[in-house]
Amino acid sequence: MAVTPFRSIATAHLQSTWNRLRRQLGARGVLIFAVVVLVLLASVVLPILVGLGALGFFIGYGLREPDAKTWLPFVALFTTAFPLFGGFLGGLAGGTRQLPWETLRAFPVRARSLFAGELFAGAAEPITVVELGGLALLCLGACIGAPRATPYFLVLLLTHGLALLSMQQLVGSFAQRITKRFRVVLVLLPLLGVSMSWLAPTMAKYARSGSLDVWLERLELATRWLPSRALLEAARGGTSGWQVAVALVTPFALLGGVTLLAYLLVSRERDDGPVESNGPAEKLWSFDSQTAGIARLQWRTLSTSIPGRFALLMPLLTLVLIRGPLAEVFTGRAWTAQVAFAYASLAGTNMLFNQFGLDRHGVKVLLLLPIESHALLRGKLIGFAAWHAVQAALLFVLLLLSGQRDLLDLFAGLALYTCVFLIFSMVGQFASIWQPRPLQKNSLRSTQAPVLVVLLTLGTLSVTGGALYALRFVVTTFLPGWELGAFLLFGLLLLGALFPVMALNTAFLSRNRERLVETLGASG
Amino acid sequence: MTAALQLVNVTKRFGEKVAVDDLSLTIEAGSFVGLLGRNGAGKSTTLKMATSLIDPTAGSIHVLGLDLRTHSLEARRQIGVMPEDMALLELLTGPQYLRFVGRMYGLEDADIDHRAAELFDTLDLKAGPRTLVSDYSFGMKKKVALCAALIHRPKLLFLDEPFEGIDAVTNRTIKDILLQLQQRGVTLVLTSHILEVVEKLCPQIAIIDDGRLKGFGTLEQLSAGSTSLESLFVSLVGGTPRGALSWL
Repeated sequence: MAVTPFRSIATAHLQSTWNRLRRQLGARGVLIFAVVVLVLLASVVLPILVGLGALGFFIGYGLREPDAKTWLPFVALFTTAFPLFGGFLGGLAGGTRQLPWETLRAFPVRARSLFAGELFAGAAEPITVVELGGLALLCLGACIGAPRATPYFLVLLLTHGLALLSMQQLVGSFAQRITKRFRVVLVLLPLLGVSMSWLAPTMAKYARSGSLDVWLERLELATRWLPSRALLEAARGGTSGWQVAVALVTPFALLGGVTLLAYLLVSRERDDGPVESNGPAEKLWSFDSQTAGIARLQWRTLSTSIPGRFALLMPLLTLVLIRGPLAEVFTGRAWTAQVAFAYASLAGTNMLFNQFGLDRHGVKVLLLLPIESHALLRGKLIGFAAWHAVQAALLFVLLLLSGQRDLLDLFAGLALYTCVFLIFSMVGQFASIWQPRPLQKNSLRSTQAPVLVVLLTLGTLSVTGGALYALRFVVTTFLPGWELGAFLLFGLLLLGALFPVMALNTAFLSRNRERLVETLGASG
Repeated sequence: MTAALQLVNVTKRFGEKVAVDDLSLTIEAGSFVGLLGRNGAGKSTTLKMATSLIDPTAGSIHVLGLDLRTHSLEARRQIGVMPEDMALLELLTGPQYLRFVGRMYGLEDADIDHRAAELFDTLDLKAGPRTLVSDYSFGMKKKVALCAALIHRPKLLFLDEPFEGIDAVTNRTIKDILLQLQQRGVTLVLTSHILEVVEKLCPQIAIIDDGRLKGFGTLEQLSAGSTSLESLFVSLVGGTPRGALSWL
């Protein structure tokens, strides 16, 4: 019997993932990676999953208790947020649809079969496996805690699990679309960012000003419309007759809506064809040195590519976070700006660790031209520095506009940003030559980093974060108010280290030009 | 004779740009047609529309008697496509990729493996069993793309620049396979910039320029005094060969 497109796509997904791992790590590397994954599973993922199972059990067990009415809205909110945020994470991580949609559309398979195949194949991605496992254990725990309510929790698992997968596709497709219409995004997102940054603290202040009972009452009212709340009420036995039918139907109706929307968005992804510009001819470049030419080329590459432009949105997203959720966490502390700059500095990691990625087969031109390796690396560093300077300046202005008036803190944040940039540039140059991979200029897709680079990034991140936090801790303990000076001094030290490290990276590049040509040169 | 491909007043616009402009073309079943045109003339867009990868802005397309607007799925079952960029799933091995493609066409695994082995053998495609498509040479990728276009025994085969960037031996192998296919009644449409290849392989020639059909027929029908396909092509698309560079 012929294999269904669904199984075929799912198999191809798994084979691609496995082949990629084996290619990047080699047979022994896969074993090492498996050990690392097992350690991570045992130390981080397993406790979370067990915790969710236990939480589910207590939810199920406590359903018929009189005080259940108090905490049920929170559970409803949590179970609704699970597929929304889970799908959001999965969609942004780019794990879904690693098979090019354009290729799949050439086959004699209905778009809905392709979509279904992609939808379920997305469940095999690591992040999604953990999310779905968590949801399953939560529901399993609840079923053990309240065996009679099992059908309701099964409906909850089915609908919310599928909603998570649909959200993944929806977010993936939406991210693809909005990045294609960058000018619209540039107008909409600042508006959204500023309004959110104003709205979130206002709402929090408003919520705090009322008594707890009023706040709970509002939450209770708001969550009444959630399908998960209807299911939980039915599981508690708090509803009967037609209300039970409604409880069972609404989650499916909502799921159908989300899935249909995702399907419509994904199935309408089309080749937009060539874009013609009728504007005046661009001014030709002039530069005095090879380094300046490469720097200008790098700036141009970043400013005209979607991944590069997307990085410009990070200051806005940071502002929303800082004025919203993080403002609640770091309430009353004076170093909000430093947190903001530290967070934003991580945005460009992907490209700093793959500095030749956007050149794709253009890398052959760079290596064929009589350009010295050091000029190539230095030019790219300057190009990236200019691009990051724009991001930092944007964040600086946005923080100023949003009421952050402590200039010392703002400049300390800028210095911190520079330190992180210098460290990531030094390690990134090495990673870019060691494990290059092509990046698409007009898409956010196909940007999955090799596992080794992911591990290197995490390592660099941990060491950098630890070192900078330790530095800040020492300064605030012994020399309070001198953070700016400390970060500037540390930045100068890093700048001093940059030149010998770049010399090492230059030698590494000279030895590995062939690797770059082989890996990137073939990409069209 | 029935039409294998029929385009009637087909237009494709990308925003302001008109890529294909009111193009009408009928290709009989069993024909071997070379589609020629300068870069950006609209050849690839025409092929994309004929293979239902993109929809025309206006006009209608029938493939093997099926209207693409209503029966694109049935049409896609019977056509094979070798796109210019090859569009391969590069993280699979060659056999894995063919297994995937065969399954998408609804073939049994045993059939796929049998056909894949024969195709690999005929096309002299030798690679390690664990070698990923991404590690294949350009010529090998072309061969895999051809295998994928043939594995389901299509009645109509579209090939976009099949001879670009490949060595002489692969070139010869692909030519032989295409001629075999034609003898078995498969309709073939290929685009190429190598006019000598088209002249030797394709009994019929269609020339597109600025999205419009400039000529369609056999070389004899079109030539009207031209000595070669190159001269005919240059005269139809209106290109004038420039003189030597003054500074050289």
